[in-house]
Amino acid sequence: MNFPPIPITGVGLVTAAGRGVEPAWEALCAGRSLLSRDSDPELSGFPPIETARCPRIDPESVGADRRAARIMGHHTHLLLAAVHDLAAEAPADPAVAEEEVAFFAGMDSVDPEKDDLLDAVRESEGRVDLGHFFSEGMDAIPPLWPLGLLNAIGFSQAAIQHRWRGENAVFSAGPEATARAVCEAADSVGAGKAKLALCAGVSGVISARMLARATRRGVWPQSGGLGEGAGVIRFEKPGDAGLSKIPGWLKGHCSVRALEKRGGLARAVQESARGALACAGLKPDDVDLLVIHGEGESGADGAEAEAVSAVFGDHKPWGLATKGVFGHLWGGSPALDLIMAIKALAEGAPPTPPAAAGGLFRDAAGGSGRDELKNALVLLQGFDGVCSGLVVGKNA
Amino acid sequence: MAGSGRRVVITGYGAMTPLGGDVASTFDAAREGRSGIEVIRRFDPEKLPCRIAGEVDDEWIASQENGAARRLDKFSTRGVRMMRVAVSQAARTARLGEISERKRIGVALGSHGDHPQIEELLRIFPYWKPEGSDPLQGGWDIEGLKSRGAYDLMTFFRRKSDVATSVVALDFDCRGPMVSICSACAAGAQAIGESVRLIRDAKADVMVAGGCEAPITYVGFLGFVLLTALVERYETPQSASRPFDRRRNGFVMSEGAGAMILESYDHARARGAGILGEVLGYGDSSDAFRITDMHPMGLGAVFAMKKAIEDARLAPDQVEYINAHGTSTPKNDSTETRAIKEVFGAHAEKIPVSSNKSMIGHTIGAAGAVEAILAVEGMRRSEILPTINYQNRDPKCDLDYVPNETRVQAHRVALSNSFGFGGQNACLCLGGPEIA
Repeated sequence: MNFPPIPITGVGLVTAAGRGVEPAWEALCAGRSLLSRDSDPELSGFPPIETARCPRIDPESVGADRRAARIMGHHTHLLLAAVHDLAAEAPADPAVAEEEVAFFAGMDSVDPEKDDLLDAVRESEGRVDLGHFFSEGMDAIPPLWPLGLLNAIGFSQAAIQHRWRGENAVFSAGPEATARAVCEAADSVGAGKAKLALCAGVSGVISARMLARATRRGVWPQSGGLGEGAGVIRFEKPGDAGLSKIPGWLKGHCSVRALEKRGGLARAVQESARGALACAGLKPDDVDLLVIHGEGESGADGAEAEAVSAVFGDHKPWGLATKGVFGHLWGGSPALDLIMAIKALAEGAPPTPPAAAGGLFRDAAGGSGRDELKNALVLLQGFDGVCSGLVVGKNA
Repeated sequence: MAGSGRRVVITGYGAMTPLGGDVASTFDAAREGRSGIEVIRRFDPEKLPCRIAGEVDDEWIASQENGAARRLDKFSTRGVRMMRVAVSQAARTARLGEISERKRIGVALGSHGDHPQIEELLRIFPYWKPEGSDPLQGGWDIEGLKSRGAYDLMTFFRRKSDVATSVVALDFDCRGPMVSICSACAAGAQAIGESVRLIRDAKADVMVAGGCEAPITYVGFLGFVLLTALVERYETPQSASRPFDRRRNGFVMSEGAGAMILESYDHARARGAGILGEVLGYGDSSDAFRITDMHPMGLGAVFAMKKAIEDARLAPDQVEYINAHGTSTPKNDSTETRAIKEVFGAHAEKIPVSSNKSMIGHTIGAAGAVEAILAVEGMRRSEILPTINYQNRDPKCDLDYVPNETRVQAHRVALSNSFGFGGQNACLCLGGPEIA
């Protein structure tokens, strides 16, 4: 498929476990779920839900200036924190020109925050009197409020802070958007259009509106808990990346849409897995670690199990799943899963495989000693039936 | 002639704008220098500092909607309805329905979903139940919302930015890649650029690309009023949008949709599709300066234009027309002028530069697509659309802006600029049918 392996030279991650890869990895290895019954009174009218929220982040602590911070929501702070930490822990080569740094992101929907508008609506005294609303309610709306509703603003703020001036796009919404961002960033470097490319995935912010939308889409409460978080991954031109700082390589990717209602999802997962492996020039037997999507909804999980069984046959890779620990991060989940796969390759010891995986994976890994893991396949499912496979390797 | 990989040609396009319900009527009105800007009809703007906008005639939308796909209507906001009509026009020209390999047809659209309406907010907020003394602390009465039929408003499903892509893919049986882009005013152009990449990389043979936006609602409009980005001083609605004129003082909000059918050259030729033009190159960049201001040197705009020209493997002096972003704001127009000079040097003085926004207003996520379509249509007709309301020369804007009258001039290569709030820039290098 002529996809050159692309070096991954840095990652940044924010989850409910905290800032950075290590706390997330420790939680995963310990099998310690970060989900707990959400006690936010705003959600009290919904069925009980378990969430894994990220603590609020002071935007100025991650480099945002005070004026810009006024138009940012929690989702933007998550993105800025992940990017900030990546830059601090693995600084990019300053010799790379600004216009040679590309940036792509998948971001979940941004909702108007209740607090932004509640006062304004109340001041309008319940009347659809627009003139009255403007004159009496407008003062209660934060200036620049509409910009806060644009996904592009959080994305642009990261670019502003780090002077990224190359190719870019912000995709929305859900896991498929972030999968697209990963592919675009890797292709940008692979095609020589950028020397550095970053791709980010950002979750939505858990709120009543998010739950309402999740209910409408049928992804909750049928599936497990919901989480917040953001991850960013940096790709670098192979010749420019020092081998010592490469924790992993992106070796292949493929996205396929489920087209038929009956059996379509299983077929799409299967095709995306096979396509990603073909792109990487690998066979199923070459996969040492499989990161499953595993969102906890029976139809989706059943389709995934069927596909894994069909692709891997008797070969049983190590298994890893993140959603039982972190919840479903929607747009953030591909970044989290990819980063955990890279970490597992580096550690050589994957955490305990997901429960109820029906013998798809090798048995007991955690605590059984280190193993030589070379290649991992990450499986993702989007909301509109878009399934993706991403292959990462320890070596090119 | 085109950049790396497969050549990407245009085999169909469609549009809805305040000037017309399709490409031909929009272009015909624009070539006569007509303005689509009026006093807002959709809500009472009386007490707002800006009371004008470009609204698409409801009848144009209703008369062209496809009766066979009514099942999708419940997901279709005004913006999505316009998008579906624009795509249906483009699909008809391109004979999209005749293509049997539906898995090779993708969709990439720029859109931001619709804003919540004041009426919706007023229906929802009575179900907010404060607890204690702080009115912001409390919970939602979900059962009340459900029993009174307000819960659907709560989901704001239709506000989501990927709804347009999903609905169009279903409506037109496009089973290939789906991409939803929400990069503000650059979204429509970026959707076309991303489509070009997908076709060049052989991930699709055909892409439905474009953008839509319907921001003429009270909340959507109010947002831009608060930003003080809209024009506030004007004699008539029709003379308010005046790109590059010294008296410009803000942009005019507008609505619309634009759709292109993009196709690999070989695929189009093999099935005998008519070729309207070609996307020769695409360049994108980020200003990385400020959220609300362009880089003062137009750095991002320069990068985007240079990249698009390089991607097309052309020299700057081969560009014969620039369809400017030209918003009619003081900063954009002078900065864009500066960027054009930086890219083209002495050749800048010889290139006609015009802004469709002088007649259509700013259609936000649709603008990049609508303006690229008009640029190609201009090459087909050998006409360059004017910048109307150009009366007072600004020393900072000293290029040839094709003032007030359409120019009859054959041209084969055009750039179309789109620069978004936040600093995302996209530039398309387009070729006419002769090149294709």
